[in-house]
Order: sequence, then structure tokens, then C-alpha cells
Amino acid sequence: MSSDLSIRIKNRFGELSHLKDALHKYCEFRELPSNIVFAITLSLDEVITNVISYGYDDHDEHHINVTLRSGKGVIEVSVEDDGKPFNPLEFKTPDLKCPIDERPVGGLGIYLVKTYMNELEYERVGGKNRLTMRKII
Amino acid sequence: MDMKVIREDDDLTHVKLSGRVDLEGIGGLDLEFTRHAVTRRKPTLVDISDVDYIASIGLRMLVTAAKALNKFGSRLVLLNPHPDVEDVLRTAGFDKVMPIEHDYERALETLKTAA
Repeated sequence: MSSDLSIRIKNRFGELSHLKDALHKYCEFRELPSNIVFAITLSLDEVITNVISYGYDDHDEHHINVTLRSGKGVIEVSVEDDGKPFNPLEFKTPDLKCPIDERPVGGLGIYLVKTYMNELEYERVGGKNRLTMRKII
Repeated sequence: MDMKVIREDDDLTHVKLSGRVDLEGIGGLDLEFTRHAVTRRKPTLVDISDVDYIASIGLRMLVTAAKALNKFGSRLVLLNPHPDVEDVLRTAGFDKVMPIEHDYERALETLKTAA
């Protein structure tokens, strides 16, 4: 599997549009189907939003590395950040069947990532979170 | 995201959202949406036929409005989602808390039923 695209963004919400622009150019170049592009965009959106929103206790500038690799029938997306340890695989699935009054308003982002991607792997390496997501194409 | 108010009267609030309903797209428009959808406490039809992308922050905006309206006995119905957007809504179980309709007249009927 070759490393096709590597982007480093700051932990600022304004960076999301640069990331999505680069992602869409990559997907266009690879001629990926629109449902795959949608799934990857949504998953990256949710993961990065989570890191920026909850990953840091300070207001300092941090960097988040995003890497996309393509192999035979699969796209692999890695996100590496130096935020607080957070393993999304341990995140409890929200109750999606409860009545509207009891329905939580948040907690859906990670659930969507788990649903839209085929495989997730988490490691804490050298003080960094590394989340690897794979989508079968 | 853009928001257009189509109708506001004693029976109904009808708004149309378009564009990307994500963090950047929403900007401050969630407050505007809440002002129209929730503050009036009327059955609310949200046309999302021109929404091409929705992230969890957009889902949060919709479920917050639906929950608030439910307390006043009014429903929020979503009209004509794009297939990718509808898939996100159904994956998140939103069809259980706010009906999704593809026909305007049928949506109006659904809005008349109790929340």
C-alpha cells in the first residue's frame, strides 16, 4: 500500500475546508465512487472535529496529521494527533431507539465513523493517538 | 448552509435548508434555524432537498429542534433528503424521532398527527 496523500493541519476548525478540498481532489484523481467519497469525508470530518473539540486542554497550536493510502480494493485513512488519549473503539454506542424526550443530542459522530468505515484500528504511540480507518471500495 | 423561510403562519413553519450542514456550513445559522423552528412552537416542515452533506453537528441541530417542538406537542418532519443524507439520518436513527417524507402533501398530513 503506497502513501498517496499526507496533510498536516492545525487544530483549528478553519482548517477543515483545506483538508476536505485536498481529500476531494484526491478522490477525484482516484475516480472513487461518490458513496465512498461521502463516507471518507464524513468520517474524517467527525474524527477531526472531535480531536479539535475535545482533544486538548490548552489553547496552544497543535498539528494533526492525516494520511491517505490506497491499496487493492481499499482506502486507508490515518489520523495522528498529540491530544489526550482517546480510543474511539471504546466509545459506547448511543441508544438510537429511545423516545425523542430521552434522545441524547450528541455522541453520534463516532457512531457514524464506525458505521461508515469498514475497519478501525487505534494505537497510542509516542504520546500520540493514531486512528487508522479502512474503507473497502 | 443557507436557510429560507417558505411559510410561517398559525398552522405551520416551513423552512428550506440548502448546502452543507456541517460545522463550517452551519456557522451561526443554527440559532436562526432554532428561532424559526422552535420559538414559534408550530408543526415544522424542514425541506432538505438541497442539502448535499450533513455531519453530526447538523444532526444535533435537527434533534435539538425536534425535541423542543415535541415538548410543545408539535412535530418536525424532514422533506426530500438526498439519498446520502437520508442514509446518515437513518443510520443515526432519526427516522424514529422525526419522520422523513418524500411528498409535500404527505408531509403535511404527517405534521397534523400528534407528536
